[in-house]
Amino acid sequence: MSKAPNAVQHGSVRHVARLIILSLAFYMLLVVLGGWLQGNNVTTEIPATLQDEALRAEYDAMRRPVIDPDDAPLFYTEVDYSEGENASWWPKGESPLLSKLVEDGALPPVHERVGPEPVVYTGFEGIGNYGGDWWHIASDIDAVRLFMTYTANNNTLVRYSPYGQPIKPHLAKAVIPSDNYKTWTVHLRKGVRWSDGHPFTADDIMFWWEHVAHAPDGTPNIPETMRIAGEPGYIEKVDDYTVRYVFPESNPGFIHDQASAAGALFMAGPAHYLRQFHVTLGDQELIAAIAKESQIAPDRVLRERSHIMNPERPSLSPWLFRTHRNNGPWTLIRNPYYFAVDPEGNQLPYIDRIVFQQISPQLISKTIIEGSVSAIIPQSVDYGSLMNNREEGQYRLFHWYPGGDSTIGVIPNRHLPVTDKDPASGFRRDLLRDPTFRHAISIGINRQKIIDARFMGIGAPSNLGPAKGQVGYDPEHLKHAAEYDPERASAMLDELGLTRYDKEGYRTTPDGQRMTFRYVISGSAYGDLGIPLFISEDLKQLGLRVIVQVRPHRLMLMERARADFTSLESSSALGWGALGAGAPYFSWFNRGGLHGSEEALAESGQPTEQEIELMTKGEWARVTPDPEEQKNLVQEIMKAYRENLWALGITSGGVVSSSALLLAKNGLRGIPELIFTSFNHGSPNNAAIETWYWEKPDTINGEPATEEYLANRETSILQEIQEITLPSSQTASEGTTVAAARSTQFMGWVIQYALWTVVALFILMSALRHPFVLRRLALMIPTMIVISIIVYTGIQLPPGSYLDTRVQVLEEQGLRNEAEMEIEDLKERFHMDDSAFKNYFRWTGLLWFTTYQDSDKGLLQGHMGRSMVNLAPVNELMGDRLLLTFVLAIGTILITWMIAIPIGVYSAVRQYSPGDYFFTIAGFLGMCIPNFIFALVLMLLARKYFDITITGLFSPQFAMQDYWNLAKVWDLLKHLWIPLIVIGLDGTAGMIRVMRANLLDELRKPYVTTARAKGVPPVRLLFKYPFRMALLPFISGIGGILPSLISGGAIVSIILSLPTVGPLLLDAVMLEDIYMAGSLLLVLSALSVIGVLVSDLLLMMLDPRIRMTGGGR
Amino acid sequence: MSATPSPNKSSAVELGTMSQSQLVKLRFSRHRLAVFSLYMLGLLYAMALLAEFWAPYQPNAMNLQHNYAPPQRIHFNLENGFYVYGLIRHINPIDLTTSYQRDTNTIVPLRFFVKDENVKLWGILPIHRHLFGMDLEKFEERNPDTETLPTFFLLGADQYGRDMFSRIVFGARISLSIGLVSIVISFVLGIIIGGISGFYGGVPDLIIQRLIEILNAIPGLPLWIALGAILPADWPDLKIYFGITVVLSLLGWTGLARTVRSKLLSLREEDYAVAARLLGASHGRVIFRHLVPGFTSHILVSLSLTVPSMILGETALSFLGLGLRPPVVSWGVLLQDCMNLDILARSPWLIMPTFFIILTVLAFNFVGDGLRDAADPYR
Repeated sequence: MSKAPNAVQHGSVRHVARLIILSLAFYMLLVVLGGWLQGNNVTTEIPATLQDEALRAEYDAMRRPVIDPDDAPLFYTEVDYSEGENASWWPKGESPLLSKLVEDGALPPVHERVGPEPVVYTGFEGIGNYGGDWWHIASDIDAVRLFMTYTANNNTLVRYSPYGQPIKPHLAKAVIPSDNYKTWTVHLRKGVRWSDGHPFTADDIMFWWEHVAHAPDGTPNIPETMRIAGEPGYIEKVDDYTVRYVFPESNPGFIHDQASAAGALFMAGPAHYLRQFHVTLGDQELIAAIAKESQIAPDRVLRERSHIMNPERPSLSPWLFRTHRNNGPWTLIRNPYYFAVDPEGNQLPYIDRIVFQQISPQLISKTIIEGSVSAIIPQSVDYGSLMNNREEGQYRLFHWYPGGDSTIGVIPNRHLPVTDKDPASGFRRDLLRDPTFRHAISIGINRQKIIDARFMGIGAPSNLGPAKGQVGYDPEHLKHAAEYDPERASAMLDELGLTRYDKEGYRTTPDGQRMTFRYVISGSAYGDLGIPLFISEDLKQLGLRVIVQVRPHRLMLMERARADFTSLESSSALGWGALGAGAPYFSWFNRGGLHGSEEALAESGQPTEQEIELMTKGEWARVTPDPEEQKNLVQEIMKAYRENLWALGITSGGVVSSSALLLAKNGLRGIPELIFTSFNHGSPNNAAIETWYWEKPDTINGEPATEEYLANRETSILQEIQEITLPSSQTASEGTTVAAARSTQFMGWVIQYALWTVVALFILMSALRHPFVLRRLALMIPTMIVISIIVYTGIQLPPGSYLDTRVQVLEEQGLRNEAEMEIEDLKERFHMDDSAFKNYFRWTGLLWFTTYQDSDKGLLQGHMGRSMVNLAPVNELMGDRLLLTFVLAIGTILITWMIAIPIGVYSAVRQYSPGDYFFTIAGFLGMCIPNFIFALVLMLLARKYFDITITGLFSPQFAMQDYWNLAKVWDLLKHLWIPLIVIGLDGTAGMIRVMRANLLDELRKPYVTTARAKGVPPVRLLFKYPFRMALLPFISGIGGILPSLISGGAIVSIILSLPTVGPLLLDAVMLEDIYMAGSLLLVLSALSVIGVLVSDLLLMMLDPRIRMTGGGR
Repeated sequence: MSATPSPNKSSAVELGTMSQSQLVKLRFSRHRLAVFSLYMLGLLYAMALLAEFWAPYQPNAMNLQHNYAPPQRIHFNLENGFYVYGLIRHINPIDLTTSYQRDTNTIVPLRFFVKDENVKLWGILPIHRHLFGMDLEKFEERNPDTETLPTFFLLGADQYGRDMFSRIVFGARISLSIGLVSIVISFVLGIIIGGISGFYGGVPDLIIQRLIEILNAIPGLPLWIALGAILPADWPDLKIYFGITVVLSLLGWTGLARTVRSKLLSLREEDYAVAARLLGASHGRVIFRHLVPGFTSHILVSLSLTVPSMILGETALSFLGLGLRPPVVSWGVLLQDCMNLDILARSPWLIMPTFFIILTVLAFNFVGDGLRDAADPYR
């Protein structure tokens, strides 16, 4: 039987017609939705604020700060130390907290602690008040380390002023160069003490020089800052408070090096502390013990103990890290021996403590904007949000001077590698080396368009050069080749012989080969995709094919040497090695190529004579003390730049860059209006952070605090000043007061003994002779083995490794030595030279059974390995996360049941009622909306309509607390229900339907009718049999649910920033922290497997059929 | 009695002589929601297929003067037909946020089948037309002096002024197709492995069953995250695309394998199968010619219920930054812009891809449900 022809046509026409009607309806729906979403973002009139020209002018001026080098503010205050006790600056005032300790006899009086020759700093808003906390944020302990190293280090001999220059004494009393700048005499301050009270003298510097910067056999391991032109200098002691740095060549840059962060890394730490760890001079037993415990070679112990995050290591910074915690919040407390005072003799700092709350990266913006941070340079936070929330968040926004004026530079790779795989590469390289080509590109870029679109019209088209207020500033120079003239550009390209075009309209090589220029940028660090895309559009108009490729930062670092173009930000006026002359030679430069270092030659090729000359001039210009010479050098460089256009700029003139903003709460005082912000200066270090103070110190970030809180705070600060809390894996050295270690071993203990408990269960169950259970238990073992193999292979597969990344990043920061040492450490620690097989056995803990060495402990012993990023044991990083993941999973199941079962029963019993329909539809929706999308939408709705944020699992004060009490549990419950609902959404919906269907099936069965006929009351009837029968599939279903719960939970946790295992895993994977990622994944799988087992056990208990037959599924 | 039988009414005779697929179709067509969903899916896939035609803009075409432009309402009057008003951008001097003013003096007329030389389906087929878009000639006519640029953002624009609707349409091409491609791989894997398991039984069955259990025990997303990181970031986009489909299907075949296995186990003992074997049919022939047709509908159901999880998997991966990356456009990539709550609160239209995702998943689920009801002979 066939349908008649026109019926078929009818049929398909009908379908198409329906499709068309549907699409029209769909579009109307979209229009309606769009209109609804439009909200009040569109007006018909121009809002008043936008018409206010004066307002606009005022704000524009604010965003274009100008530095007048002749009017540089200072916080360093010159004093005459011979005045002695009668001087106003003589140390007499101190924090009330420290006074307490002095009264108790725990500390010597302030003038003894500070010494007779303190450095005197005058805050920008006068004498401050003691007290208060600086509330800060960190996503992990590494961020705290960065703060300690660059912002709050202050172990430098000299220090940058707010505008950078002039460089003033800090740790040193005076630093005096000889006439030829070959010798620098450093006078130290008498009476300066380390944070443990031990005096700081020239011996500390000499110890470092003789025994740290040189190996026991005399091999030098000296940093770049002790070299000039490739040759090493040396340090000699003159007396207890004077040392002399001697260089073979003139080294005017010495004082700059000492002021920068690199200079701070100079001195590893105090001689009296480090001596005991020295391989030949130290306590051999102690060293051996530490080496074994930390799994490192004995000669690395000293370096490890001199790490800045070692709570035990004495320091000279205004704030100290003495309390190790696995997870945040981390605290830095005031250094009782800090050697700075204000002009009235009050010991600095004013602020007692810096508290870093642990915030996951996604929450950083929100936390900053809501005013939870006292002061911070808000990187990559939306400018509009920052400005708009000033009143609500109660903060001010300082527009400081960005240390690098041009935000972005386009760098043609003059050293493009030529390969056979890429036949046009040679030709392209020649083009990139040709100044005419670069010139053509420069005038082919429509800078104004970029400025309008990306920088809101702020800035003027310009190429690279010194900015306003910097030496050599010349507006004409900046405009060179910055005009937009595509026709002339095209003509220039024609003149270069690029007259052939391919089919798509792009220029080819003279012999017709395709030319593709690759422009590689980093998706994250220098984050602007927009600009390279514009540039590629503009170049397309010229007939040049440019493809923009975004790479994760680490990959970009490795690939940029092979790309045709790349982009960079610069933090110095003469950036990128003399306005780009040195730009493509990143590695070469960082490895000391300029000083003739041999290994540098092995890298990305050798620059030309001219380029080297320019780079040398650039270095010189940076450090020379002679202003005339500096100006001449800069102008020479600028002239060379105009002729060559090594690298291209886009804009200049005050750009809105987050790195030049400072957010500060309203009550925080002492902050200068304008400083020169740059990474090199450790900003905001050059804003004299130790002179900042709270107008009302007895507050929490400006909010009122209770008496109880203040009392508790005082107790904990005093405690932290007096006691040191070490990481659980670190043994204390002689003479340190260690706080009682809180138990952090709980998790490790659980994992380790849980395993043996399972085995015990195994034996028990088999004793009961249930073959079913026995089988399931026995299966768990091979299951876990297979999973571990899958996971292990999986994590080994991605190319590259964390090590490569780390090398690149450190080299970029100019810390070549650090890089090498750290790589060695990492390689050893993680046994990277062993085979994958052996590492697998080590990771799982199987190796331990053969060697019984502590360093070989693995998963089976409860050790989840170490993170490569911060070297902390994964067990500690996990902390409570495993518990919370578990709580989340179980909680979701419970809530799901609590919601789904009643609704399902209701739906079944009142079938086809309106309630039933409603729940059916809701159920469907719930099943189909992916939970992470639900999380996103919910976050948006909560924020937009209710102005609440639903992220995190704890309120700030309980997040701080690392022990559990009832209040914390209650806080957890209060926050828990939202994530539970979100995660459990599809599960709940599905369960409703299943419950309904099952119950309906049961209710139709004859025994129900019989019971009803016999007069059993309906409700009792319902719950006696049908309900229980309908419940069975649920229980067997738990096993299946757990993996999906954990998986769904993972992504929701990432979005809502919950402190569970999921986000940790994602971070580990992104960073290629392989052992951590592997262990976490395995832990999650183990949770699932256990869940399946438990559900099977439950099922067996509840369903006699299974028990009887002993059958599996 | 009409000469041509109406498709909706069937007499008992006809019912008895219909083939199974016709029966299934008939039962399916009674399930109104499923039919509607099928049309919905048809629409979405048509959009994905003909993306260049449906979308008024190129997916990466930036309109820098209109960053974060809000959706424009469509108006109609007899004089101009369908039109929208022009948008004038204002930058707030205090916080540099953009706001827009509706320029009631500038009319941007719209029409269907707008000519555009650049429109080539899949980059190949030159059809030179958009389904609808701005009528630029009429625009010039109506507004000779205006400085406002004509724009038509049905669902607003993103940070770079790219039309959200166009991006969603092009994103559909990737997101929806990944679902289908991974299904194919899962299908092949599932049939082969499930087939072996079900047909041969015994030891292979045992091993495969345990393997499936193990794979099911590993939580999906974390494994995807780990596998997703395997895909080197410097692979070309197409390779990453296929890499992702492989990753997704590697975990998705288990459901199908289980279905195939259980069906084979039950059907293998049926008389007709035994008869075929006794008559000397090879294993392959028995499986594919005799057994498989018995549960094709079940396979279809299983597949149609797996597609949404594939789509969601890709979305999740891309959203986390482990899957596809810009400038490739997929719904997951579009969702990355939603992570910044402040910007999202100011420009809520950025969340529109979720609407499409939900719609797709809902549609697939209804269709799968409908198929299941239609194919199950016991209802």
